[in-house]
Amino acid sequence: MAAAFTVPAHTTAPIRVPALAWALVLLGTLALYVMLQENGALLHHSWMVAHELFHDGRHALGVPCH
Amino acid sequence: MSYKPLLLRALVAGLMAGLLVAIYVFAVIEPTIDRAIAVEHAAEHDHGHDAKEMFARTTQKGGGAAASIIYGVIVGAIFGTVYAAVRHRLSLANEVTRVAWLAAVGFGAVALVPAIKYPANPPGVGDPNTIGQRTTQYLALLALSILLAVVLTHLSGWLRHRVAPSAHGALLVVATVAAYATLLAITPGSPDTIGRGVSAQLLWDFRVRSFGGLALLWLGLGTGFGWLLERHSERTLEATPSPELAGTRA
Ligand SMILES: [Zn+2]
Repeated sequence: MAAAFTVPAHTTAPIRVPALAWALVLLGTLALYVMLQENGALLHHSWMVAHELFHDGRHALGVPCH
Repeated sequence: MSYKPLLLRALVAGLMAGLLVAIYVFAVIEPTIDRAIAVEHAAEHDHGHDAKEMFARTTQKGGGAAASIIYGVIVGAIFGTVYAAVRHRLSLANEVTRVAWLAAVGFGAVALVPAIKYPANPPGVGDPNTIGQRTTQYLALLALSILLAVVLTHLSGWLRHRVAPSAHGALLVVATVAAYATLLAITPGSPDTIGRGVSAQLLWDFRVRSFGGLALLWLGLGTGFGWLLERHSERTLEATPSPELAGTRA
């Protein structure tokens, strides 16, 4: 960790990250929430189908479940 | 390097890591889930109510594998985008080492810290009445853990111009340990108690195996993405030789 952030001797050009990419990150985070965390707190309970289907994944990935 | 080819490689690496984890979940974690469900059903049967499941166990196993793959792809996309944004600030030798370093940070903040405070539980352990509270606790810890990683990264940059290089690393290690120890100490513990015939052996097996899956995901993503990106970077360099190289050849 210590050596990671030095003043670059020969600068690496920054990558231009389009705004759309950050929208993608947000969308991905939301999708992860629906898949792994949604326990009926935010969405209609018809989403319980997804909840039940991804059930084992939730336990395996260590997120709270039953 | 531009964003698009980078994202593509992050997605491919995420997919590969997700597939690896799916196989691992199916072969290593599912047997312990089955053991836990057997305990759970025995307890329910004793109390005279057999729960009706929406899906058969085989479908849920398929769902568990699918969740692992989707998780890998999405984490890959997010990781790739964050890497694209911070890559120019990481002055490590090449893509492999830069990606490995960021993957280590991601693994620590997103997998290790939550696993220490709120370790994984097999089915039948959590109290259905506390699921809302446990979800909030988990997400709050996750958010604070990521925030700490960002703050420590900025602290590293800030310290660089203010302390000797020899002191920099030590200070940063002390700050990291102190910050995460404090976070783990001040966040509230899980409200649940473990009961209903779940043995310590089953709980331990499950927690170790679940953590192994998370480690496998970050290891696969970190090495796969680094390797793909390094290969891409070498090819791009070959295609457009630097002026000095062109000069020596002429
Ligand atoms: Zn569950």
